[in-house]
Amino acid sequence: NIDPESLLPKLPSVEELRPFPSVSSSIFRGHSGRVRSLDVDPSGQWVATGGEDGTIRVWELQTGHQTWAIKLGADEAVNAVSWRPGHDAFILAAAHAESLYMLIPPLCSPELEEASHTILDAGWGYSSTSSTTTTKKPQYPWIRPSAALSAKQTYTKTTLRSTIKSISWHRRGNYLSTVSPSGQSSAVAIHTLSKHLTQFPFPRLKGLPQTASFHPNKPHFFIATQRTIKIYDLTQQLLLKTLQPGARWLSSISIHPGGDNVLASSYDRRLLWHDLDLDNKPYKTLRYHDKAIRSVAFHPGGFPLFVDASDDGTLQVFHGSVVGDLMENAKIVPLKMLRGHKVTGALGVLDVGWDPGRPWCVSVGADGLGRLWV
Amino acid sequence: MATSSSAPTIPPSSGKQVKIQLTTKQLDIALPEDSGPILVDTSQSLLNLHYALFFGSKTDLTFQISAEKSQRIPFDFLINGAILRTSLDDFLTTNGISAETVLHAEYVPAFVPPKHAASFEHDTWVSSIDVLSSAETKAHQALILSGSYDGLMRVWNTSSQVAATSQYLGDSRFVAATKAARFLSSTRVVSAGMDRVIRLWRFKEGESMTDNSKASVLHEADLQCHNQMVLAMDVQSDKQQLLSASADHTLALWNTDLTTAPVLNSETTTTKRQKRISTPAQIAPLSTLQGHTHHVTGVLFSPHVPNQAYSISSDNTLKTWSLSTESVLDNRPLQDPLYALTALTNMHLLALGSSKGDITMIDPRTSTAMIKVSTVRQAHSNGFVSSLANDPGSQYRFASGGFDGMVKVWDIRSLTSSTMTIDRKLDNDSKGGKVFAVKWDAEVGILSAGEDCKVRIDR
Ligand SMILES: [Mg+2]
Repeated sequence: NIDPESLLPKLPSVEELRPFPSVSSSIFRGHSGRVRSLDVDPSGQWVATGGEDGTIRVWELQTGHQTWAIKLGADEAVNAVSWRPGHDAFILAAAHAESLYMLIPPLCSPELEEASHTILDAGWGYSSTSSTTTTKKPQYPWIRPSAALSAKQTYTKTTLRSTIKSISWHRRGNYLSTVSPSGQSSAVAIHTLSKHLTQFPFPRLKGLPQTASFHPNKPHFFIATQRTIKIYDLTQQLLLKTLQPGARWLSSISIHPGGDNVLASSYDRRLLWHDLDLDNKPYKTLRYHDKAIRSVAFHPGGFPLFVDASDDGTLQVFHGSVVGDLMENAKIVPLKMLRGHKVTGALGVLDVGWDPGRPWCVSVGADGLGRLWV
Repeated sequence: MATSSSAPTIPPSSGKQVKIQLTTKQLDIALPEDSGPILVDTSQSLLNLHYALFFGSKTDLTFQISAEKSQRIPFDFLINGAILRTSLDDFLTTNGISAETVLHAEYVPAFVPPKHAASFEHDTWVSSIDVLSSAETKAHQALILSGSYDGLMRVWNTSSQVAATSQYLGDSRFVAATKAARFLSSTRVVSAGMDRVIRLWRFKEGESMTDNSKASVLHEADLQCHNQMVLAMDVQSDKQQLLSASADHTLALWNTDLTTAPVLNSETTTTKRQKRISTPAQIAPLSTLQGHTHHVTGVLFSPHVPNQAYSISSDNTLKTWSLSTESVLDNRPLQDPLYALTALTNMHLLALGSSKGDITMIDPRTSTAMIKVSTVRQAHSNGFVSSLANDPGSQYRFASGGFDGMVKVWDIRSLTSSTMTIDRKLDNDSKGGKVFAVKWDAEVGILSAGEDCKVRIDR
């Protein structure tokens, strides 16, 4: 018997797979307590972070200068922050406790700010006209936050039944999903910006949902429960496929920009690559960490890279290139382990994200810091 | 006076010697007559060459350098254009040169490392610095301009006193940092930053060196076209031209002469939110240059060719622009995002600094088929080379500033290691000390600015 792997061409050397992040550069200092979430804005100038101190902070990405901040509350964490995709507006979605906020940080041009207002204002009109046709008031209305918060560019607030842990935007920026793992029948919400509408299309999910994601170019939707990844067709309201990663508790998923490959990370230290052209089992199971993996992210475009974040305090950067050819499988090469975050209270790196235009990633940790890796 | 009677003993020979023919191009340090090849011990370090130069030859040395001084302010020796950094033995071995050969070495005054002279304290990070020479000021004292993350500019005298501070005109809802600030002339200043607007200011000096109370920086005009932050600027004072580089992927060329500059068509802007007490001039660009696909991080008027400019970007390219046709003349892709740019004018070289901490020397004239590039890898250790500044006193030297908290001086004849370093790291290493700007001024010295909220001068 010949090991089929031995017939494959040798993997290229790490140096040939440049560029990839390898150096710890700017450090984002300011949060008190753990930093839970981050997202780099579409222009690559800013990174937003959300922390257990109840604040959202926006930093100049390159230098790590804290440029703007807002405190949404003192007692509960900002668990997720996510910029609306595209260059036509400057809108940040943030989850604080059970509430979803839409913010327009004052860091963009007046033109972009105006466009952002227009996008968020459209729904006010819809909810007032629709209330005349439907007798029932919406169960989860979008409201204007308190005057104090509104003055600080917080634009809308929607309060759900239980704590929101993750946010995912549809690429066109009119829909976003939130996941509240303990929300039972209202755990997975899909929100429509233009209508200020919050819906729960998945009331009878088996298993506890952890996170969700839109497909990058099809009307498909991925929901990761503790043990499975379910793929739905949103237009036909149909379950298309259930992936079986073989992990005990999934923490995060990332869809390859091409749409045919899915990465999942698990608290039981596994990183799982699923090729949707293959069967429901992972194409590759990667074990590079001693502790739970909390987050995984494909580079959103331009670079064949992915990175994960672990409670062991490290990030592992991989080369991951997907070939269009159905006969050829994805090429995965571990590139670099990024060290710098201090493990604090048995927790390490809590989230990781990419600069959309450069081979750089940003991580946040239980040590209260964010780090730019270039 | 260097005479044979005051000469220290030449260290004992190890036996191996080489003949060296010493020359210099600088008349002020030239030997009065050619001494011919001299014998030098190869096992010793460079110091031996100094001894050879001053005491080894039989020539009567007439120039006024004492033996003591010659040790303190030494010479560098160039062999085949590269500065000798090793012992002669190592040099001969490395280059496979026989000890029988007569080596031709050119001696030049070695770089005198500047010493910390002053620090100017700010409340926030300092992003940019510039110098107005004493010849241009009424008080005949050089003035220093700093731009900082509080959105202000300050003009300082060399005694660390603030002569004038600009008014904050940025967005009122956050502190819009100043990212670039320059003197346009002895009476005008330009600044730009996070709020996308380039502002011209009228600068008035105080009545005297000691009385700065009448000094002022007053808002004069807004230059508007960028819709993301402005990251860098270059000025061409004699032509009253300004180039700006922005995160909106464009460069813009501006006329800073307000009597002839194009006025912004108010219909094309929706700046209702930006109310002002007085209405300063609103200026439109002469042209905007499009071609980069990511943030434009540096810009430079060509020191040689009129109406040409260079730009660098985090799209990894160096571009040469024709300002008259508004087109890209040359596009050089490099390995990594670029963040710093300076020209070594006489050498026809550009120095580029990258996000990986590398410094690349590139001749922008050569065709892409025959690029001559040399790169110093990891010149700075925590990523970004944020700033590069050429030495006005030497065509070979330049300084770099990095996010590792270091300012380093480099000599292109010896790029394997830096000539000297200035450590600006904060006390606790983990707290950083990023350097954001470096300026090398003939009069004031090496100025650097950074995360430690200081402008530091080394002279
Ligand atoms: Mg495939």
